[in-house]
Amino acid sequence: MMNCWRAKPLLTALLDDELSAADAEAVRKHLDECAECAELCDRLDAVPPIEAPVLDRGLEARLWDELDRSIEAARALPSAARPRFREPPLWERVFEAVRSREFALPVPAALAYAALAFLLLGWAAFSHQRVQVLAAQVEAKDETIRVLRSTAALQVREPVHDEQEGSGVMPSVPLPGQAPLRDGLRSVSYGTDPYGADPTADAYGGQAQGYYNLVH
Amino acid sequence: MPGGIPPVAAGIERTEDHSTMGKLSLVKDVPPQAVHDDEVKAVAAVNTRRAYDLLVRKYREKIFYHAFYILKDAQEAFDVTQEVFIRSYQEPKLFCEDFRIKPWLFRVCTNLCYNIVRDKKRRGGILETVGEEKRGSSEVLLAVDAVLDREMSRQMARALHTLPLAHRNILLLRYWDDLSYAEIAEVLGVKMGTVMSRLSRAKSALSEVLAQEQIA
Repeated sequence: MMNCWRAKPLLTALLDDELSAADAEAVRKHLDECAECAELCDRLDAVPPIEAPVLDRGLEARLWDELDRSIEAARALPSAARPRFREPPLWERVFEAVRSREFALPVPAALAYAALAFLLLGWAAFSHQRVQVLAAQVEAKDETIRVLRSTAALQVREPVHDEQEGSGVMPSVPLPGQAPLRDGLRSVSYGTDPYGADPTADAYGGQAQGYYNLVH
Repeated sequence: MPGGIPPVAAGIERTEDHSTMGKLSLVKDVPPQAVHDDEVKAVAAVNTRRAYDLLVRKYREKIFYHAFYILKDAQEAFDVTQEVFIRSYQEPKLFCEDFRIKPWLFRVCTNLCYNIVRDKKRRGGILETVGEEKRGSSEVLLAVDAVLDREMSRQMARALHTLPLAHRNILLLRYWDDLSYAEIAEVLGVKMGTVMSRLSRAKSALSEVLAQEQIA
């Protein structure tokens, strides 16, 4: 069933004889029933054809001669020499768009955006610098610790003889699976710095770890 | 073309004689507008140069006035016409058997016109009126421009110019260039239904403008 909404777009096609027989029949039937569409159809039918502008015969001939000549001339040229219809490269189009203020912002908005961008950039630069300073400080501290520990570990200290406590004293006989001790070495204990003299102790919360106390 | 030469092709004298090869001509009383595209291809099989000539003579009027009705400027319309034919020279498949010449030409024409309209809009009205207008115009084109300026005051031309670009273009394609709906769909790259509805809307808009002008 054809209604106005479906029939209206088909009216020109009907007049131009471009509809299939079935569609044409349906639209015609609708036109018989609907006065509004019939009136529209008459109005469309009454539109005069588009005619060629009236040019003087001689003038037209000269125009076509000119066309022939210019086509001949342009064909001889490479396409780069005919810039009129060259598709401009991307940067040129962007430049053109900016120049023609196609993307123009209102001045306060532009200023606000500029200020925001400036702040963001400044903050980024500042934090980058700060991070670098901190990293350098940590690096320097680590270096100090490494140096001090390597010198401190080389020092073999006298063992602590505390019979009551017996702390830190390893049994002189090696346990099964343990490597035998070197000659002259009675025991090896592992623990804290017995003298409390390690300058790196601060870094480890008061007591330097990692000392081998050798008992000869 | 086996069995495919349409009736008008009887007007093409195709000589097998080698001495006159390439000099085949159309009988005088067949206007180039009446020559079928397939016949142009048949001519191209013998003499490409001749076929291009035929093509230009067949379509120059349609394309020139189409561009003129879109752009309102003889020089620009002339440039578009020239460019369309130069591009047709550069199209390698132009005379291939299943190449659809007519929709191709009008697609190029439509796109070039759209480009010019877009560029004009982008540049704004300033440049257009200052230097651009008579840029490199020859004497013939100035004369044509003057005549066509008068033409533009005619009712139909004025009415066309009150319509939006897409409507103007599709009306010209159908009622000036005589393209079928299928060809228009190909030119614009849209579906058949879109062509019908857009053409319907364009034509009823045109009829409304014409009616208003008659009242006024």
